Formats: sequence, structure tokens, C-alpha cells
Amino acid sequence: MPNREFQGYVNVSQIMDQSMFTLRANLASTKIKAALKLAMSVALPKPGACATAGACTLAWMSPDELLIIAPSAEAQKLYSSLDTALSGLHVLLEDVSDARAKFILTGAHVREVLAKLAPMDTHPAQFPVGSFNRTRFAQVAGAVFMEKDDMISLICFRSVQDYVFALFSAAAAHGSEVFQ
Amino acid sequence: MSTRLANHGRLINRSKAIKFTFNGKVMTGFEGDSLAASLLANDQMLMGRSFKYHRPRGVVASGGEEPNALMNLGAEGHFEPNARATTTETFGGLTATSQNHFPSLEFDVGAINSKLARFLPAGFYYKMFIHPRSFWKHVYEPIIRKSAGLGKAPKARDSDKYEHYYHFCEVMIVGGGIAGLQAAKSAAATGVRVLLVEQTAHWGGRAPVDGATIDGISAEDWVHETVVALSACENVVIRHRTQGAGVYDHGYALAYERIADHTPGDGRPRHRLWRVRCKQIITATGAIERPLSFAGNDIPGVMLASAVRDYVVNYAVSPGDRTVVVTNNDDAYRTALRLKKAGLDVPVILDARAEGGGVLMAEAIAVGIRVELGRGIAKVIGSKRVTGVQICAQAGEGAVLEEIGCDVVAMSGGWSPVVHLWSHCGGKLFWDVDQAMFRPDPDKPPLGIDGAGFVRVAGLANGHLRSASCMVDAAIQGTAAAYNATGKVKKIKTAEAEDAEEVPLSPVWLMPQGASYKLRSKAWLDFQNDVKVSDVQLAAQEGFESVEHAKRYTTLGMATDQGKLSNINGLAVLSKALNADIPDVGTTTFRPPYTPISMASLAGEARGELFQPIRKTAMHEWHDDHGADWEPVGGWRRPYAYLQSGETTDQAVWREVINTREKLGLLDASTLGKIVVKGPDAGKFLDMMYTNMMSNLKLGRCRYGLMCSENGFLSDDGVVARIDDQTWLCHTTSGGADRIHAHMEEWLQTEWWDWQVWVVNITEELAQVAVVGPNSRKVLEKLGGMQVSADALPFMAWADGEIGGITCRAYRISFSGELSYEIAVPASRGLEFWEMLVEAGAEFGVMPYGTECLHIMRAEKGFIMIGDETDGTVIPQDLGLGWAISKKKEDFLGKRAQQRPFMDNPNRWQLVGLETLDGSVLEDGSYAIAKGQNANGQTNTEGRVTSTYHSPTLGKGIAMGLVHNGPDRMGEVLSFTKIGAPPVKAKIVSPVFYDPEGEKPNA
Amino acid sequence: MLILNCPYCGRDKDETELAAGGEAHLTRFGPGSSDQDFEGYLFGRANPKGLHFERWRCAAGCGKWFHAARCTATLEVFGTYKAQTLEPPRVIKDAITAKRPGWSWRNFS
Repeated sequence: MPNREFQGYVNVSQIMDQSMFTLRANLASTKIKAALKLAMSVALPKPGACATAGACTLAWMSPDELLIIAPSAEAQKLYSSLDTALSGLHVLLEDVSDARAKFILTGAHVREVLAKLAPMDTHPAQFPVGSFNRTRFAQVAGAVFMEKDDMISLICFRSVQDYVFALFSAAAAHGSEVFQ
Repeated sequence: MSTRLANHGRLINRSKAIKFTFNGKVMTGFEGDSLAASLLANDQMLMGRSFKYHRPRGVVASGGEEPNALMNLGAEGHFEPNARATTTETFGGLTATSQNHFPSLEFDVGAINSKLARFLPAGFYYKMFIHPRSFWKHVYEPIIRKSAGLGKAPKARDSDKYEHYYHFCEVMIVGGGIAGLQAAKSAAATGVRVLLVEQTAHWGGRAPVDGATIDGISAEDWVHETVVALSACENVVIRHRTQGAGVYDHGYALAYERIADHTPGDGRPRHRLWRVRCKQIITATGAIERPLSFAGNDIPGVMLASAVRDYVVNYAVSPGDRTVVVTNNDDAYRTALRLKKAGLDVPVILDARAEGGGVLMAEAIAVGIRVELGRGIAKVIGSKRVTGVQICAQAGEGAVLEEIGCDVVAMSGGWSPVVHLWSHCGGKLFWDVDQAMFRPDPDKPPLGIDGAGFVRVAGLANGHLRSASCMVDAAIQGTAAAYNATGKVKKIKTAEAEDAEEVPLSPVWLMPQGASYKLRSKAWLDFQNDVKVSDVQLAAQEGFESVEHAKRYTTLGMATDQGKLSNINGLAVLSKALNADIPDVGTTTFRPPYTPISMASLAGEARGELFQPIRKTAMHEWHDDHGADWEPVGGWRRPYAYLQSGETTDQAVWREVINTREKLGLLDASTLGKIVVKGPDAGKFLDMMYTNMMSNLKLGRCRYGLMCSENGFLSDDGVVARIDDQTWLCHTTSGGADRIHAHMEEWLQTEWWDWQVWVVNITEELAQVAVVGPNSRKVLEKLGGMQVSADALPFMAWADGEIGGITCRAYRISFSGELSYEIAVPASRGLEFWEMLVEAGAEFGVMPYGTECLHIMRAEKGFIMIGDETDGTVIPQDLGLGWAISKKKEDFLGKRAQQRPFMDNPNRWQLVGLETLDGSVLEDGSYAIAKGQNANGQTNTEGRVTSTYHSPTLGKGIAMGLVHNGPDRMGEVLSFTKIGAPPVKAKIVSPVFYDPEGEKPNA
Repeated sequence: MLILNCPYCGRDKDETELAAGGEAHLTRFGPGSSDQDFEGYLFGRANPKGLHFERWRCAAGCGKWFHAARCTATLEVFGTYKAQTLEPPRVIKDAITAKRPGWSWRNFS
């Protein structure tokens, strides 16, 4: 499927070359922390935030779940090193690259467009750059990563990617600006 | 006549004349006009007909409280009924038509009802249409339905765009009058986030019209300066054309923004619904003037005094040449003075108070207006337009003292604070005797998340009628709201306002106070629903003592204006009739929205393509391109069947069954739930989840499992595969994936949180294809890559490998009774894999098949389907699945419930096969008829059909059903109901109709 | 439209992001339990006007089940806490006592 894009007062585009892993593990465990540090050279993200290690992102999904996002080219290697580092520990690591879809919103008004569809406070003081939140986009579950002031990553389930793309495209359409 | 004045007009732009049409007639208005103002400027006082009596009605108000001037606006996809002309902004090309009349507004045959008014009192419908009982359904109801409802229902699909916006702030202020602006300034000074909304297109509310002075400058200038200052604050959002529509729990509020009602087709959304979350809400919603109840107060030309003033000042529209002002308070004198200033005639001011008013009265007398004290209106003369009034003593019974010619009556019965938003979430009111108004009781506010009040009221809405105290109150509320929201304090100077001194009003609930029945039966309370003083009195007399009962009996306040003008007058009349105090009678309940908001704004983006998310598998587009007839399943769309040209759906389904049984079928099984369960305690956990044993499942093997709720009822089923020592993969039904995943998490998190088990739902990671039929092995072998032979991959085994170059996991399982494989591949390669199978399978007669084919094939095999054979009251034992219930396990979810006496009883309805004697197909859900009747006189039943199909394989109807002690009654013939036809006879047989030995899947 | 703070992800969640799960602190009765105990576990739910302990799930969020102590009449929320406990923690009990002295609910007070 081609990378699709919608150009409005905020741009919506789908990102296809990313892999994702779900890691279920007790994130409070020092062994888990050490293993992840070993595999990815990065400290665990705080609740409600992401940590970045090079081109990879670790998103805090819950006290016992991380979402690890990596460029597809590095994914196989990353999976192996994680698998090795975590071996013998009580964890569950699953490739969910194909279960998810990722979109990015870019433009000065990304927070505004998100606020049309997600019941969350998108104000910079409440949701600063680096924040991560699981919420809903209209009628489906979704996750939001505030990458930069003018860029938000959105993650949703694969099966509803058409819906989510259409949803954000409509919200970002010229003429529907909330604040000029 | 009503007309446009030559000069002034606060809100209009005389350089921009615009054309619009009313009832097909082209008219001219100015930019800035409300539609009501434009119509009055064109001498169109008659704007509608009332609901019950079809009486001619003119505009009575100038804002959202308007009961009469309701219009159909626009056409086709932009059509909207029941729009208030007072809150509709006139724009070029606007088309409006009046409502509730036939054949025309001027001549309406329905007006005959008015002549019959004497025979149509309150409760008429209830009393009249109950006898004879049989007439209701076919005679009365159709007639009443036909006459019900104002306006027309739109027929075309709404072609505008709507959206929601989630807004978070600390303080929300509703109302952009001087109190709202001051409250916003005071709150914003602390730096908290403030949202200020105003329902009209203009800031300042009444103050600029009434002419107060604030901080030494005119209210108009102060408002302008304040709006500019607030707009410049980073922490403030101000929004006009945005109504605070409702207040809900925990600081949730709805604001309704009418973005493009006045600029249709400019590409912007028409409405935006702001879903606001805040800590504190201040309602600075002002007050609504009350009408006076005198005979003929509904004749076009009788208007609220403040509205008359608004039309003159804001739009330079004179509602008439000669205006009689009738009042019980000082404020209405402002109208007289304004009219005089505009060069219009005010023949008399009738002040119901014996002592009259204060400085405003003195001013009126000074400019030469005749003022009559202790006087009121006995009756208004005129039919489609006021022609005069008969004057009487307020204290008397209506003896006419004098008749004065006029074409407008400006009435004022005092002011009622707009307490709706305060009340929406439970705020209580108290009766202010001195000002004769219900006011918010500050000791009983709506309570928020912390148990403290979260709504405050400021200014006029809080009972402060004078500008000076209004500003002081607004500043206090603004500062307090910011403090309560965030703990921040910063005091700023409060604007000082000045206006004329006023003396108190004297409550007047009926004019004259001793009005005869004849006068009372022409004194309107509710203009839109035609409720008169006499109706409310009748309701009281007939025992409707509760205000809520009286409301429903008379329909007072039940029209689209929700009684904004009528409620207080109505309950005052009711309290008098009951000889009770007004606060003891109380108000009816205020419910959101404040005024009607569009249905589409509530839907927001959820329309058309975005109405509901549709889950799509990786092969969705292929199915769509190949004739899929879609069926919704658990949020997904699955092909019911693939229609080839010229085929009916049935023919397609039957073809798919035969082809799959004889050759090769492909099913997109991606929607089946796939949940990975892993950990040292995973086996123990699954033994609790499933009725059968999963911990002892061998590596590389699959087992069909059942899940029950704690009630013991069958909840889901599917095949479980043992992946490694600590890992199992559980398949669920298509609709059950999210539910079962949540069910597992729930038990792990809330009951067995010390068990070491992780669960991940990987349903969407994989595309899964069922390759089914005698040729299934051939096509897989042709694609190559892994061993799929009977030895290498026996029935109920799985293996990882590669087929056609794609990494996969292959399961040798069968839900069809044929030789069958289910192959899971990464979803991103699902379509590629599917197309590969289609191509490679051509020589083996491959065809895709849909869910109905799947259903028929499983029914031919006697396999149950969750949702068909189960309905939340069926236990596995009922379905002959006792073999899947472990006897060894001490515990599993549902085990204890299945030991309850009613469950643990062989005397239940149990699964059997059913075969009609004539080969026909039984009706789904039909009942087996038993002897006798139950206590309710209904025929007894002894079973019902749960699945029923025409089996193309067997060439006859087959069914499964639950029959009382069914398995013990093989061969017995039962009668099954058929709607509109005699019962159908069917024989009890084994539910396995096809390949009873089960040899085929083992091939 | 309630707002509850999820004690796991720490975020204030809108009611539309949450799923209600009924009464909290149920004791499971399995095989071997008396009919009365089992009936109470399966069907006996308190429905008080006033203080109540409820289960909620951060459904469109971190997915975790948590408990909320709140007043069903005024909708005041006294606190939320993690579900891995057999009784409300001290801090929650104290918060309730501060607002509703002398409270009791089932076996707790």
C-alpha cells in the first residue's frame, strides 16, 4: 500500500516503514530495566511519555507494557537483541508491526486537529513534547506521541486505518480551522 | 406598520443591503440584521401560526426566547425547520418560509381551531380520544399524528459539515454581556485558562442598548475595549455565536458554535460542538423579560418592551408608529424614552403600580409622555395586527375606562434570571420576593468532583438588575472561580458602572387582577403551545397540583422554546389557583440544551463514511473487487458470499458449499481472535479460563476449547494451540477477540494478580486463510515450502514454516468437516498470500467462500456457533459438549455455577438435529409446540430452532435446535411454528448430518 | 460525564475512555462454596445512594482495572486506587472519613 497523504491546514500522512513490538514485562523490575538498557542503551520512559534511542522509540503503554517502534530496517536486529537480553525473564515480546498503523500530523496546528477527535488536553503545558497518551480517536482506540511542537505521531489498529486516516483528513481540512 | 428608520442602527451596516426571500417574496435587509429585524423592516409583523389554534402570531422577543417567529430555512440539503427568526442572521440569498399553516400564512384553514377554542381546553385530547377504546389506533392516532409537530422534517441528507472540539480550561464563562466580560477579566488576571462564550454575534448583551456608563465611557465603548483586551490574552479564548448549551457532571459543558449559518457554502463547518472540560463555570447568562398576562396579549404587535427597544436601537427598525407601553417596573420606561427619541409616538405608559416608578418615569413625564398609574390593559383589539387597547384599572375586573389606538403594545412583567445552566446539573433556586424572581441559591450549587460547587452565577443572572452591582458581582465570581480552580489569586480593579436608579417592581401575574373568565381565556401564557391562564387554572381545579403534572397536562412550556417566556407566569398562576406560595409550587426541571441545537452537531464527524468505523482485513479490497456481499461481524465486514454475475445470494452460497466440499474453498479467517498467553502460570490460568484442560496440551498440538462466564453460560469457543513450554495461542470467535482479551486481563489484574502470566492480543498482526476441501493439501503442496502431509501435519496439529515464500504458521483444523488448513501469515503479506492461493488453486477449482457457506458447512457437521446455539442462557452441557468439560479440574470459571440445581439437571432443552418431513427449511427461532397452555394463556413450547439452513450438500432443509430432553427423543416428530402459516413437522435427528464418522478432515 | 484519575497511568480520564465494572471488592466463591455464598458473589450487589466502591477500567487508555470510591448521589470522588488489594487503602479511607465521618460500606468503615 502506498504512503498516503492528505494536505489540509495540517498534513496527515501514513508512515509505512516502521516496525513495532509489544513488550509485556514488569517495568518496575530492575532486571527488566537492566536488560532493556543493555539491548537498547536507553532508560525506560516515564509513565505518559516516550524515550528515544537513536531512531527507536519506547512508549510507555502501561506499568507492564512498552511499545517499541523502530525503523523496519533495524527491526530484525533489535528484536534479536531484545530477545537475547530478556531471555530467562518473565516477559512476552510480540511483533505487532502489522497489527498497527502509524500516521503523522505535521503543521503548526497539530494540537488543534488532535483536539477535535481525542478527549484529551492537548495544551503544551499539559501535553509537552515527548508525551505519550493512549486515548480514543472518535470511536476507536489510539495512541498519541507528541514528537515535536509541529508533529504528532498517531498509532491505531491496522483494521481501522482507513477510518482513522479519513477522520484526521476531515478534521484537518482547510476551512475547519478552530483558531485562525 | 413596522418599518426601517432613517438613521442609526447599532448592529447594521447600511452600506450592505442584502436580498432574501420570505414565503417566496423577495425582501431587502441589511448586513447585521436578524431575520426578525429584516422582516419587521419589510412590514412583515405576521411571522407564524400557533401550534394548537393556528392563531396568527408576530414576533414577540428579540432573542433565543422567541416562541412565535419560527421558520423553515433553506432548501434540500441545507433545510432546517423551527429556526427562530430572532437568532437567525440575515444573509444574501437566505430563504425562509413560515410554518404551521395551510394554504398560506395570511389565510389558514386550521385557524378554525381558534373558533373552537372553548371546546379545546387543557386536557381535551386526554379526555376526548379515549372513547371508544378501539378508535385510538386507526382513527384518532393517525389524525393527531398528522397535526402534530411544527415545521417540516428535512427530507434530503444534510450536506453540511459538522465537528466536535474538545476544549480544556480552568474557567468557562457563559454569556458575553458586561458581567461575563468582567468575570472573564477578573478570572484571566490570574493567568488561568479562560473560555468565554456568547450565543449572539455581538458582545455586551443589553448594556449598550440600555445605555449604561462604565468607567466613565459608554457601555458600547467599554465592551469594545474589553473584548480587544481579552482577545490579546494568551490564556483567554473568546468565542461569539457560541451558546453555552448544557452543563454536566464534573465540569463538563457543551458549547454550540454556529460558525457558518450566516455564510452557507463557504467551506467551513456549519456547527462545531465544543465539549468543554473545566474546573469552574460561571454563568453570566442575563435575564429574560416576562410578558404580562392580559386578554389578547398574543396578537401580532404585542411585544416584550425590551424587544421593541432592541429593534429600534440595534437595527433601526420601528415595530410600529404608536406604541402603548404596559409595565409593572421601571425598565420598560426606557423603551418609551427610546421610541420617543426615535421620533415615534407613545400615546400612553400604563404602569400597573399605583405609585408608579422613579427617575425614569419622571424623565418620561418630562418629555411629554402620558403616564397612567394603577392601570392595565383589559383587552387588546385587533386580529392579525394590534389596532388598539382597552384600558382598565389593574385592581379591578376589567371594566373599560378608555380605548386607545395603537399598533404596538410593549409589555414588561419584570425580569427572570436565566438560571438554566445553573440548574442543569442540580443547582437549586430560591424565590426572591422583593424582585419577584427565582435566583440561584449560592448555598446549593451543582457539586463537582471534589464535592464542592463548580458553577457560579454572575451579574443579572444572579439577580443583580443594576449595572453597578452586576459588575461587582461579576468581578467577585470571576476571582473566586479562578481561585477555586487553581488556588491563584490576583485582584484587579472592578469596572464601575452607572445607570438610572429604579424603584422595585410590583408583581403582576394577571391583568387586571380580577379578570373575568372571558378575559382569562384570551390571556396567553405559552404562545407557541397555546396555553392560557384559564387552562392552568383548569388543571389546578382538576387536581394537577404538581407543577410537573400541570405542565404535562396543559403542555405549558413544552414547546420548542421550553417555556422561556411562560414558565414563571404559568407557575405563578398555578400557585395562586392552588392558594400556595410560588416557591412551594417550584419550577419544572431545566434540562439541556438551553435552546435547541442541531442534531448534526451532536453527531459531529460521525456521518457518512465516518458514521462508524469499519474494520477491514488485509484482503478486504480483494473481496470487494470480487463480488463480496458484506456482512457485519464484530465491527468487521466479512463477505457473506461472493456473487458471480447473474447469481442470487442463495445460489452463490450453495455454489460455494458444493465447490468447497468437492474441490477447494478459501475463507478469509483473519477476523478470528488470536491471543497469546505466556508465563510460568499460563497453563494454570488457561485451565481456569477454559472448561477443558489446556495445561496438558502437547507442544505442536491444538485443542478445541470452551469458555464460560462465572454464571456457567457458554461465552466463547475456539482452538487453542500449545506454542512452547510457557506459551499458548488462543483463537476466539470473530466478535469475541476484544471481549475475551479483556476478560483474561480482568481476571489476571483483579483476581489472580500474583500469577505470572502475560497476555497479548495479536489478532490484527496476522492474516489467516482457511484452505478447505479435498484439494487443499494439493494447493499448499504446489506452493511448497513446508510439509503439510497427513503424517507431517496431522489433524489438530500445527507447525511453523513457509508457504510460497511467506513465513507462516499452519494449523490443521477444520470447522467445515473437510480436509482443511488454516494458515496465518503477517497481515502485511495477507493479500499477496491470498492471491497466490487463488492463482495456484485455479487448476484445483478454487473459489473463495463467505460466512454463510461457513455456517452451512458447520451446521451440516453439527458444530455449534456462539450466538446461534448460545444466547447467554445455554451451558455447554445443553449442547452435547459435556466431553469438553473437565471432570478432573477442581475449578474453572463457571464450574460452581454449573453445579447449581437448575443447571445440573438433565431435564433441560438440549441440542438435536431437526429435519423437516417435507424437506423445507424451518424458520429461524421458531418454537416447538407442546401440549396445553401456560398460566398466561400462551401455547406451551418444548424447544426452539437455533440454526436452520438449506443444505445444498444434502438437498434438503437441516436445522439445529434445543429441545426438551431432545437427545432422548430421537425420531420423534415435533411441530414448529411458522409465521402466518400452519406449523411445520420436523423429526428429531442427530445434529451431525454430514460425514458422521468424521473421516474427511483426517484424510 | 465523570472524570476519574487512573492510578496506573496517572491521567484524568474522561468517562468515554473508561469502562464501568460494577461493585468492587467482591470475594470469589468457587466450587465447594455454599449456595448462599455463591449467590451473594454472583448476584448480590449493593446499590447504595451515597458512598460506593466501584471497579473501572482505563479502557481507552492503559487498559488497567482500578477502583474508585465515590458518592453515587453527588458524584463526589473520594479517590481511586489500584485493584490489586482486598480492601481500600488507608489513604482512601481517610479521605472518605474527612468528608463522610462515620461511613461504612459492607465490611469496611
